[in-house]
Amino acid sequence: MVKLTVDGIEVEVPKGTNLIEASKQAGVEVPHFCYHSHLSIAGNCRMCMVEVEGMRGPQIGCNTGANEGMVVKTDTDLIKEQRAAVMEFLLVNHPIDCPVCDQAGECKLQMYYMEHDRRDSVVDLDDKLNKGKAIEVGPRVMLDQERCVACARCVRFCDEITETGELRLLNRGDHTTIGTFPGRALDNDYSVNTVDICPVGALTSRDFRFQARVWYLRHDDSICPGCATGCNVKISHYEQTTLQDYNGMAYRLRPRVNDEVNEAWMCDFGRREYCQVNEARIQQPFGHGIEIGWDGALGHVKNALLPVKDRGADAIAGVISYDATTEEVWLFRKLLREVFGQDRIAVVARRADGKADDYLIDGDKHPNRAGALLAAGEAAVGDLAGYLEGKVAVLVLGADLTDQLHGEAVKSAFAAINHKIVMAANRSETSDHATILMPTVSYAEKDGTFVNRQGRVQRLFPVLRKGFSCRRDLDVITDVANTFDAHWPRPEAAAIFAEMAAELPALAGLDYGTIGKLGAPLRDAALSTQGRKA
Amino acid sequence: MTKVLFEHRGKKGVDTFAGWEAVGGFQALKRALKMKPEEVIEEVKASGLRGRGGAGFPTGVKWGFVPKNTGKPIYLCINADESEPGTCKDRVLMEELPFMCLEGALIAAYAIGAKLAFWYIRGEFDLSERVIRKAVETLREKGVIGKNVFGSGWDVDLVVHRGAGAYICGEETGLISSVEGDKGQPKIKPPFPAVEGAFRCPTIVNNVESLAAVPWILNKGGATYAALGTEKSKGTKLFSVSGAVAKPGVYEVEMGYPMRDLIMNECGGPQAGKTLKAIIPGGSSVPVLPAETALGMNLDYESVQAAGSLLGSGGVIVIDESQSMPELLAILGRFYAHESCGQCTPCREGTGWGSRLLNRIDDGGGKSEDMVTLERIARFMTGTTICFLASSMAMPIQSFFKHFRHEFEALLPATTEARGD
Repeated sequence: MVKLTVDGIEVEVPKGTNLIEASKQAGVEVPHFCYHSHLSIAGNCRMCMVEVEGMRGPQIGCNTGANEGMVVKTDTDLIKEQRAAVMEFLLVNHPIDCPVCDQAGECKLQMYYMEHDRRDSVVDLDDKLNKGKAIEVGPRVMLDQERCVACARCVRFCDEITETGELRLLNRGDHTTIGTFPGRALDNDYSVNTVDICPVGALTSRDFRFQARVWYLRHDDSICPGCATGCNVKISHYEQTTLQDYNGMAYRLRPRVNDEVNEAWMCDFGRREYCQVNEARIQQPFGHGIEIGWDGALGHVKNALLPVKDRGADAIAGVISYDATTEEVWLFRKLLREVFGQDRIAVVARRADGKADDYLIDGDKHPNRAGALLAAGEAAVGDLAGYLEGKVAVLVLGADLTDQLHGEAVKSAFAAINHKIVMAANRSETSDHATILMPTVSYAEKDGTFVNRQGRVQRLFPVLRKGFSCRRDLDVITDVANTFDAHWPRPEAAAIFAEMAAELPALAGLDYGTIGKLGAPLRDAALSTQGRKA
Repeated sequence: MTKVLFEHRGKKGVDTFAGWEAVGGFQALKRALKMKPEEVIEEVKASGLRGRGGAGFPTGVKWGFVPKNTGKPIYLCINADESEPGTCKDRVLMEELPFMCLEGALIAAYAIGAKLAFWYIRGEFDLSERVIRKAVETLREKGVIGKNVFGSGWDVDLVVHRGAGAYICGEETGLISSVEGDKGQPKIKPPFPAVEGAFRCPTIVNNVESLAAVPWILNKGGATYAALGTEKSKGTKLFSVSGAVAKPGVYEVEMGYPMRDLIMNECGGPQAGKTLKAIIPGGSSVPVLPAETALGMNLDYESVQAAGSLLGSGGVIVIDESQSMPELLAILGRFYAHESCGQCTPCREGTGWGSRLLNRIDDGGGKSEDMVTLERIARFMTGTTICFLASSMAMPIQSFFKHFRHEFEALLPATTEARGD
């Protein structure tokens, strides 16, 4: 560790830490385009210049390592002039098309212009250079070469992270731009990360572009539910518009840095997981296909289950999926056991295994298989068809009992059950066959935890709210229990987690505070340590 | 005057293996192979030889930067991408004295511990490439390139790599990118190539002229070489003189030789009826000097710097009164705008923007504030980029404006104040 000062503020960092990161620790933002914490240093944008006492002239912060006693200055007149000059150079040929540019509002060029330049242009040329516009550079990415500032972040991403090398800086001088080799497309499974790291509007997402102006969006922390990796994400959603229909709409997922899980990236498949927040949502409780309201639905549940409640173990089944949070599985199991005397619970897949790679994409397309199985414990059944066979009623939370996924025997066993009580956020084949259907919420609307493939417990946050009549899964489970006079309190995910942590050694000592925004590993290691101590 | 590089120039058959051997060729290499690599480096250090590509960094010191025992291969790159406008000395060396150049390169490879060398040759140098390629084949047949060179137990191979025609590939890290098969783009330093260069391995990049002097140094001794030239600029240097002189060409003179003598004696003075106006002494990238200033200085690193320019690659461009300076600067501007690799913002945009302004001044369509804008552009292009290309355009702009301002102003409309409105 070395001590240095940045604008008079002393910080301590590991020797060699670059001056952008060191300044960050001092609370000083050094503007930059090409530097990215998770890519190699290119040093080409020249925006991150700082003055270092004893070094001749301004130095680029990204490639200057911190040393003991270094005195760094980022706010001198020279540096201010340099930044303004770099901005001026960048804008010589950059189109001023912010009103129609999808990046507007989250564009470094815009932000830095306001912060570091903010003068009238002295560029007095007849025309700007013309380059390619609206190039479909890949199936998910659109390229505008005129907006490119040649920072080469995207090029380095494809070279260093995916190692697919689709993108290159082409041509020379002010004709420089990025592009692919002839006949090649930017078509790797992580291609949209290039859009995220593009500091300007050169690369835009073909899915997201023109869908929302970003200043109407909020970006809140979540976990991608697309596979067992559990990439940490930001979910962008509408919040403040007066157009009621837009409120609660999710627009995109973007990766959030977590070096233990996904570094700074996520896959292109996971990005589509915002859709389940918006699409095919069940908006009302239904009874045999008729809107019946919550009181009606819970009344129907009572009528259906009361006659068989006392022989629950034989008559009532419960099925939940690996998409459910750990807390939901725990409470659902408790509902079956304490209210209906059913000790067994089925925890099942909702999606078939899919594409996998050796980086972030896991073949298991569920976010919480590990957590669901942990919460279900020894209650989990192995033979789903046998479990359903001969039951009078089944409670299904978020699962989809199709023959494609579970086989003909399960499908027919399910079909034969008299009362199919389904709780789900999105419509499915199973929800279409429900006798009673109660709408729950998506991963973006609730508290809870997922345990990923590494055994890392990660938190979900209720980041948005839908305008229609859905209820949190934990609430619906509790409503069903209280229909039978269980007198459960309104469920808080944190309290349920605490209950689990008290009973399950793997969660010992964990709580929502320690899990935080970046998650925490299961305490298996801690257990073994305790074992040795004993 | 003592000739080092041109000692044998013009001798019959000296461009053949036998001819080179006949004038004492390969003695230096044999001598080197009997020495320890560190001793070779010490000898070159003692000679005071400085890199002749333009930067003037001491060659022996550079060789000493190669880290020991990294477990990685070490590479030598011979920089034959001679593209600095006004410079044509390496071409003469390669075409007329190929075995001398190669002998120097092999000695360098031995000294730094390289077993593979890349002869990076400018894309446009067709004849040079053919000569060098043929010479390399000959050396391979004779066993001078290959296993166990001269029974020393040392193996070496050499690859001739022809560039695709980019000025920036003469910059050492740009050259390395190109050797690696990528677009010729300079790389950020640190790491320096000696530590992490081609294929992320220790790499030394040397100019052809620097290496061509090495056999002589090994034969005659570093001290003998150091006795030539001046206190700080030792030895001899090739000057490629072009432009308005009677006898343009490549001349070898001792460091510290008076420019006036070079122009008036070696080059036969100005062309008949011409009056000299300006001289660019070290290739197009260095500041221009009025002819009188330039003629009054000596040709060594320190004297040229004291006169307000740089010795650079020794490309002496002689300009007479008939040449319009705005036209010349516009030509240079177009060159740099075309050759900028486009990585760094100030260079990518500054060369293009500057060039467009210079063009319109030269075309008579300039605006009164264009010179102020160009001075701003030049200021912020200087020292703000990965390599020196941006500064290489800034220096001409600044020096042309400094010494020949009136020629530019004559093409521009009067400022509003001057017009009184």
